Amino acid sequence: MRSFSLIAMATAAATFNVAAAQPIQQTTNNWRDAFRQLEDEDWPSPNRERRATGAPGPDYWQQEVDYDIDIRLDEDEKHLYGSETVTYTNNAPDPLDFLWFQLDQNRFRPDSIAVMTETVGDGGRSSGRVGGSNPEGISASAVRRRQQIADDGYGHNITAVTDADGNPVDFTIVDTLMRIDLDDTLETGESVVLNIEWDYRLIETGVIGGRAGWECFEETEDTGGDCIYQIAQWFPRAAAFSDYEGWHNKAFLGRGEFTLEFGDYDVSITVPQDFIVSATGVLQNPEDVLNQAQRDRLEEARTSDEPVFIVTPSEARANERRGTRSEATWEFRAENVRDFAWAGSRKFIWDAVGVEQDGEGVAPELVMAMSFYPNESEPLWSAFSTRAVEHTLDVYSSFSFPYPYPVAQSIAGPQGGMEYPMITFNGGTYGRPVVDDDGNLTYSRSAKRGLIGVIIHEIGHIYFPMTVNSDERQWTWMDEGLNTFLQFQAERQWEEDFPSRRGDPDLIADYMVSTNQMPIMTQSDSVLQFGSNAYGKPATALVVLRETILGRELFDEAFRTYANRWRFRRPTPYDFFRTMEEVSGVDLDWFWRGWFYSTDHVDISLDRVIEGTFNTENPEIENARERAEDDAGPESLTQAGNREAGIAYYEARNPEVVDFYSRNDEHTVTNREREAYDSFREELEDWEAAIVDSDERIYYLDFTNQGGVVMPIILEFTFADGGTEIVRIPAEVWRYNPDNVTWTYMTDREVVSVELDPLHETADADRSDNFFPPRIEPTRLEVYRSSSDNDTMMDDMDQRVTRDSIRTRPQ
Amino acid sequence: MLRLRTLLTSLAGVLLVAAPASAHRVHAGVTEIAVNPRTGEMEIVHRLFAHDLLTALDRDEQDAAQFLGTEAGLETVGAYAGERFRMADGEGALFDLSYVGAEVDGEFAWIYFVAPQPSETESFIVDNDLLAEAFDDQVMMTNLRFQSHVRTAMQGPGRRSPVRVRFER
Repeated sequence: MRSFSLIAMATAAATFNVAAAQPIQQTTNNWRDAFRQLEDEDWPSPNRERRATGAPGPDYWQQEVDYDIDIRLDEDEKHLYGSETVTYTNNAPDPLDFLWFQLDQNRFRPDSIAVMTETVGDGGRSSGRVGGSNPEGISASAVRRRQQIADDGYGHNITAVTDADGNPVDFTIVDTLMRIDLDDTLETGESVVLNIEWDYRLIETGVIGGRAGWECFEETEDTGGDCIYQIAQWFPRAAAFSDYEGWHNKAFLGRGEFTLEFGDYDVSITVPQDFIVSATGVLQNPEDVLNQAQRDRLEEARTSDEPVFIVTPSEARANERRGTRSEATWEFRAENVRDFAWAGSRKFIWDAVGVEQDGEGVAPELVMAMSFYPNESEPLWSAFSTRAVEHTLDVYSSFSFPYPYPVAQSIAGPQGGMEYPMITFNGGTYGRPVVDDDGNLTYSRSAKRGLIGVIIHEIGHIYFPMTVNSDERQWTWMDEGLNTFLQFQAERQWEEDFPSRRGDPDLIADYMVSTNQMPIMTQSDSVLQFGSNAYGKPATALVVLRETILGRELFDEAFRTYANRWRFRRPTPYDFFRTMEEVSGVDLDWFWRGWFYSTDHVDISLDRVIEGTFNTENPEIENARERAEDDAGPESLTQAGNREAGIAYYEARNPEVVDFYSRNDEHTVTNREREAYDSFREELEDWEAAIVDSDERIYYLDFTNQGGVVMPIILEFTFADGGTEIVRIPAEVWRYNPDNVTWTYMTDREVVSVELDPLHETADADRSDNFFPPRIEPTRLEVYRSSSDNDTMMDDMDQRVTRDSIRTRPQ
Repeated sequence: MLRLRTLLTSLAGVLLVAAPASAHRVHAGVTEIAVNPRTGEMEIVHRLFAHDLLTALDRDEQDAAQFLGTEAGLETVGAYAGERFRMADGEGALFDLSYVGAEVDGEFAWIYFVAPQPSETESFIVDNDLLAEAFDDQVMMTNLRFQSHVRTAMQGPGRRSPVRVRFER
């Protein structure tokens, strides 16, 4: 019961925070302060660790934790056995009597908070029960998963915790966390050494889910059997301890991923002798685990222009069939990383290429981009994986800082997409060609682009949050949102019209109008519609910020500053918000409120346009204009009917009643009017006369903010002469009234039409009210009805590929 | 319990092949329903990831755009979506949805249906099971837009039963 009440409290707290962040509502009317500042009310007060500028303060500190780990894989039992020596250095001003460690595998224990709190209809992998109050069934895969969790004994077994002298140390396990009580208080600047031994059973990723595990293949004529192992969140890892949260001892519920401390790792991985291993860090003993040819190829790859096979497809196929009872130990060293992951398989093909970069004195000049994948992933992986890694480094570095590590790796396996320092797990169903009924090998456009997209995304995470160390366990959007924004940029630079899933504003409008959403600023584990909330909406917000609000120059400088300020440090959302404002010089509190703290959407309507011209007071002009206006008005229906009936006017039949007024209408210019005009002109200052003589027109435009988010108003005016002009009105136009405004536009050209948001850049959810004169744009369905578009594809063109090439051949 | 067992048996063959969730792959789709003021029709537009749709149709080897460029492909998708998305009035009477067609645009497959404009709009029942049989974690969001108001029906893991949506007057 205690677990449930904890969860309820956490949710309530998040909701309270969100509510408190809303602009101040009035009681006497509906006015709201859409531009109210967030500083000091909703954001934490600046201090000497974190400044109001968004930069780390003069007293900023963070812990350092170094690891020396030995790990052995028992392949038959799918079990890991490990021991580690942890050196924890306390840089905090606080003395520490205990240390907290994360035991993330415990989330798969049947009595864990994660498993015990799975609910019907929640945002994660639920029990799969159908039907709400009247359950209608349960999926077979959900039953299988539950059975494995109940029966297979997952979770970390901690078998020993000792101090540097080997003496036992007390420890307490609380769900996915472990508190280790220190014999002596760890004072500021001191280090302590601890030894931990553990083991755990690996999960089958396809059944249990999660971010690591194993996948075994069926042996066919074309492909071998055997397995791929992806190992992550696998060793007892020191929990983060920060200036703003103290110990980050939030249990792992499977959603909010993690944050950790930076440190150096020496890891020895013992696996069957015929495995190829990829890991965070640089291989230290190639002479022990690679043959001479492989070592030569690795050297060649460093200076090659294109990826070089270290292990060829045929060597990998042969390797699968060898089998061995002996073991080999792969030794890796990684410096200044916040985690360590690895993968191993005898199925791995391995390719690599050296990517040169300007390290700017803080990063390597050469990065080895590498990929590890089975023959089942060919020919897609050798064609695209390492090149996608290379492309990611190029684009992300241009937005942030040089890639900070000597290695960047993409691993194929069961995990569809997950990131760790220097190593990423990509694939799942993506990137594997299919064999049709006739034995032809093909792959779809989606398979190719999906593969490129996921590799960009996961490699991108090595920048955010593996280097800019934001806390995804609390704020998913800080790494997923920022990273999806950069993924969108990299995809847009891969090929024209790359079909990105997220980033273009129109794609997020559906989500933003939906009625059961939550703000981006919601605690990770409580987020529903994860993809739209934590990936799509923040990524789109940044696209809007860059292309529409700030412009590229201001945005890029601010974003780059954020990245560099917090490179190898631990930022909070407020550090990001503050940096973007401080560096761009643009107040953005209204933007954060609208996009990050609210569930409002963007929908501005153009309600009315009125044209005004200057009264020249010149009776020759004004009287003629008034006459023309009168003539343009509708004629009396009775008068028109009489004329059609041939009824003559009395005046026409009796000319003796025709007088002065009969011959001159009320618009006839009189001498007195001319004299009045001459007198008016004499009184005018020169500048006043210039205005009166100009052709300027004033247009009054009425707007309603129907969606709630205040945004710039972007208008395209089309003129009678055929010309157009785009006008961008800053969002501050809404500051007096966030719901309705009237704005004026002055031009010497006659306006014939106006379109609101003509470039589809604001995520305006309803465009039917964006036009003057009003018009209804055809719906997507109508457009489809009136056109037929087509595309071509490999299989339909009777083309096929082979495992060794993406070059198509006739089937 | 007997009922559960019966359903499990009938579902097992399909659900055992359901793909696992992954950390950064999201199985989600959107259905937008609104009346087109120009035509007077109610338009039902489904937006799914094209790759996921082809997986559900067991056509992984095909290119989605090309698949939907053929009569057979269009028919297959129409029959599939017609079966897995249903909509009724507040009394539960099913609307007769007419299939218009489908197309691929970027990563997405768009599937179009129309129906006569409903005479009553106070309440609807929607049952959006698109892709749910293929992916355990598929989430479908249905937005209904009537009288300038939006109501959302969510169906996803553990909550697949029909959803009633009300537009209060």
